Amino acid sequence: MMQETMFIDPQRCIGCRSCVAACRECGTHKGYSMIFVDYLDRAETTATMPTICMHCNEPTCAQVCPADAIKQTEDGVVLSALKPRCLDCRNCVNACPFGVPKYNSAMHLQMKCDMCYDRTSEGLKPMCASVCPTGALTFGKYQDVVPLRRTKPVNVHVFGNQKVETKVFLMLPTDEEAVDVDGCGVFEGRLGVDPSIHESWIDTQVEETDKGNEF
Amino acid sequence: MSSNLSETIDRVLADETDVRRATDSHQAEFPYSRDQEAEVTRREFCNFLVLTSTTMFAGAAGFSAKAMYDAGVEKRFAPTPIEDSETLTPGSAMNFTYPGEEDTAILIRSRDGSYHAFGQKCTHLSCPVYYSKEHQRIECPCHEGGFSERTGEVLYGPPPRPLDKIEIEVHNGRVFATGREVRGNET
Repeated sequence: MMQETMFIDPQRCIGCRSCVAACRECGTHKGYSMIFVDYLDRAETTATMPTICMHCNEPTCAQVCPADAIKQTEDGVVLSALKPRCLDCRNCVNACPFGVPKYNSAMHLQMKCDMCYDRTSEGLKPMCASVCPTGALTFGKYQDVVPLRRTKPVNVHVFGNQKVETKVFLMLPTDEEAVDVDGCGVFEGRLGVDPSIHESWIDTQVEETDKGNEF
Repeated sequence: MSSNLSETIDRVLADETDVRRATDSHQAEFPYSRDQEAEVTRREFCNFLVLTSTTMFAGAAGFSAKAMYDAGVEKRFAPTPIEDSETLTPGSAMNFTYPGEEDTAILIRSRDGSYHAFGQKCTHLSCPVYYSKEHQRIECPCHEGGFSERTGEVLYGPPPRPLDKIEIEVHNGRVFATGREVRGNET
């Protein structure tokens, strides 16, 4: 792993949202933030975690795109949808295991983090990593970053029947080889619907998730 | 959970090679990686060559068919009197248009009183030619071309073909244009 990549350390995140502000600064995505800082479980803890694109080696979003609008660069960065091609069909929004792509219905465009390709291809850090005060988002080479941390870099994620390897590493206090991505809250009964009513349950799920997927 | 998960990964779950295998056929056609997309396969290149040359050939065939059709149609010229031709004195020339408004022509009356008419466009680069009274020939001012006042053939200079010939008839001193002929290099 000679290339520079991102390391996300949820333990270090203090929820300051500097990354969000920095991401908005960029002119390449019209002032929308491509990074999301979420409370992991608002009722229990104040812990937050940033979500950026994990840049899969086999990007599911690109595989499901009917318009061939999502491209992966030579160094493994998965780019935002190409504007002339994107249909705003939201396949990628629904397919991504990490919920990274969001759609912008005003622009008829999917938008997602592209690891600041304009900056990183020139040797600069991504905006979020350049402002993160705690190192929750770190940009660097594997052999430089990992020895400095007690946490273990994980880039294998299990999602349904798929194993997803990513360019971006999660730094976890764990011995796990992989992260289980499943667990969207539906199965824990958080949405307050009866899963036995299958069809309406799907509808509710789509409705609920759709609201969170639009800019 | 930990042992469960790794077992599941090892035995049950599809890994990336399976994903790649499943999407291979589509990926071959629409690769998501940028460098692969930029590649042009030999088949695509051959398709491009064949289609482009077919299109070009069809276009050329269309144009030549039209040209053949046009050549087959005999042009009819209406005899038209040339205005003010009665006033033309020997050893001078005047301009007129025949058959259309755009088709410029020059009417020349030689010193012996005979009439000759030619298209006014020099066959070299379409400059308007004029009648030189002094040398009694048609000259082109642009590149020093010269034509005979009687036959319109090239005397010297760059023009490759003789001037267009306007057929004329003279009735009672009035000159009528009755035809126009583009002439090739028949010498």
